[in-house]
Amino acid sequence: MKLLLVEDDKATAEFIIQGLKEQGHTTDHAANGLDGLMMAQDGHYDVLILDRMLPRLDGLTLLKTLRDAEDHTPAIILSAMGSIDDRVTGLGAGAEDYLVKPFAFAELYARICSLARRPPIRQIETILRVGDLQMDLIKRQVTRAGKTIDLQPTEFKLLEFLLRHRGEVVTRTMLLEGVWDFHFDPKTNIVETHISRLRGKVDKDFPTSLIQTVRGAGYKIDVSA
Amino acid sequence: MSLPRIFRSATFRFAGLYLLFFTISVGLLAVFLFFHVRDSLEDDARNQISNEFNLLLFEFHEDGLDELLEETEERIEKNSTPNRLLYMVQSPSGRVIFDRIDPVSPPYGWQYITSGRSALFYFEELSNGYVLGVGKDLAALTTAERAIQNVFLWGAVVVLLIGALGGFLLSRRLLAIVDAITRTAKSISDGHLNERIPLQNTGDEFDELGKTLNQMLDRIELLVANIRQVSTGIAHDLRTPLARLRGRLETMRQNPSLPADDVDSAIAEVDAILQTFAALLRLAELETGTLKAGFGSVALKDLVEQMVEAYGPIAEDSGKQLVLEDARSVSIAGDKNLLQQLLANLLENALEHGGSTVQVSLQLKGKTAYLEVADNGPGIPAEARSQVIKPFQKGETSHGTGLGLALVVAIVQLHGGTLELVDNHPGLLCRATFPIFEV
Repeated sequence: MKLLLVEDDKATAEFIIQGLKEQGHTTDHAANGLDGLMMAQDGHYDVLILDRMLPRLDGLTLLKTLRDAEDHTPAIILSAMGSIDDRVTGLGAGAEDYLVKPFAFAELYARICSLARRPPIRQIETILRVGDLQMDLIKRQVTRAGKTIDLQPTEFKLLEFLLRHRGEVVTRTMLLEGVWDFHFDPKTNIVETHISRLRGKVDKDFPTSLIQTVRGAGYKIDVSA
Repeated sequence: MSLPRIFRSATFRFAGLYLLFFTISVGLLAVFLFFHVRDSLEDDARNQISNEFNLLLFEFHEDGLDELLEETEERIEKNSTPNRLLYMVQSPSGRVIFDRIDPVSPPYGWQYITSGRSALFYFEELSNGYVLGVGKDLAALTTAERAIQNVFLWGAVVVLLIGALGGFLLSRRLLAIVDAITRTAKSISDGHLNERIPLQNTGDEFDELGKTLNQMLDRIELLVANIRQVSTGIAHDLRTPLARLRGRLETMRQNPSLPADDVDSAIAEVDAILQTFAALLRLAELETGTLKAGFGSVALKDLVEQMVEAYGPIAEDSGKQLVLEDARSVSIAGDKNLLQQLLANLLENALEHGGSTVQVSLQLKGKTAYLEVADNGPGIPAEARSQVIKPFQKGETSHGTGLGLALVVAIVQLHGGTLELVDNHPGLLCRATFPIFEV
């Protein structure tokens, strides 16, 4: 992946660039909004990572300028401001995702990967598959190796989210946002509890496990290597 | 603007009261005028009668009774208008000639005659025993009186009609001004802090009031903006270094020579600080009330069901029961995310501190929705209940930030509702109420 990071805080930028490098990605870096805008317009990036508060040109204006020029490179906004208002204006400016500082690198990385993979035109899928697991979105039916699995509505939604991101790491926060529409951090382990229930139904009676835990990051559904 | 509302307005009541006083004063004027006119008309009549009487008496003294009778007859013939003076002569035997009226008896002098016709007479006995009377028909006087009565009666009707119309117009004008102020205030309390009272630029006292209120609103908006700027500043200046710290710790986590558990617990500590921060900033954001601007219609029943479904397995895993007792279909104006957080905090509290069963219910009574989360645990002593809802006050067994219930209260208040903690015999019952708006 080719990425552009626009971030004025040196330590944060280094932390992100280092992390991405370890994952094998090259990252261009701009330390202010104006440089960032010029680089974004010149280069062809897979994902833009924009800090919200930037010298010379703030992240939201930068993004709006790009979107006005029909540049639809997926963008994720990083912000130290976590209020509801900020998130709404951030997404309103054309960002695909919004992450409040500080964040675990794994969180950012999972979201970047998800954005980079987002197909340009989302085709309408009616059947999601991974390995011998199959989810029919119209009949709302899940089968594994031909056996029907009964799921609660929430479990169904959780599995659907995992399947739509098959092969990608999804973090706890991504699941909270995507499945439960929670934009706050609950004290209890909602995600862990529901994942464990889902595993009990999807993986327990089968020789291979599809739902995998990615240590320090989140979960992934995939045919085990 | 509905008509009944105008009649209820203070201005209309003032206008009505003014109209009442005005009508009373006009009425008093009418009475005064009536008596004055009547008196002066009567005075005129008396003068006329006196003069005529004296002339005829003179004739009698000069030339005797025959000449008096002749003269009188002449006068009656000469003036045949209905408004002419009336004459009578009464013989000592009681016979009345000329204008026939009932015979009179002493004492003579001024008398009102009412039998047959209504007239004012002056009688006097002549030296030969005859009685001479001169009078004037009062019909003219009565006509004048009636005319005055009519003028004032119709005048009163017109005054009342014009006054009511004036009161109506005045009320409407003032109501429009007051309504504009009310609308602005309502809009501001709904979070639109940039609203201002429209001014007419007439320089009158309403404009003055509007200007003063607008200045106050400018000041409030500035203060709120300051609060927000300070929060954003705190968020940025403190969260950024914490973000760096967290980043460093994460990098250290990769280093195999460092004890992973220690680093992990350091990261957890940083996360706990950040969580408290997030809660504090959220609390500040809630208290400015500006989030109301983003309110939409929220189906509470769906939300409650969703939350109970999310927390059900957590309850089961810890050997507890989470039951949705009763859920009515209720929609309120609100922020879905905040309401989720509210219920999450209540459920987490109940599951952490409560007993074996947590019951959730959503009821509708009149125009209020009641959302209740009840447990059968140890509860909170009555005297401590008002304390736990304050920021940083928490029960002795709590591991939270101490902001959970404070956030709940702030969220409920933002939605125009109330939060009550009551005894569940045994346990604690948290009751949040929300006003329902017709959507």
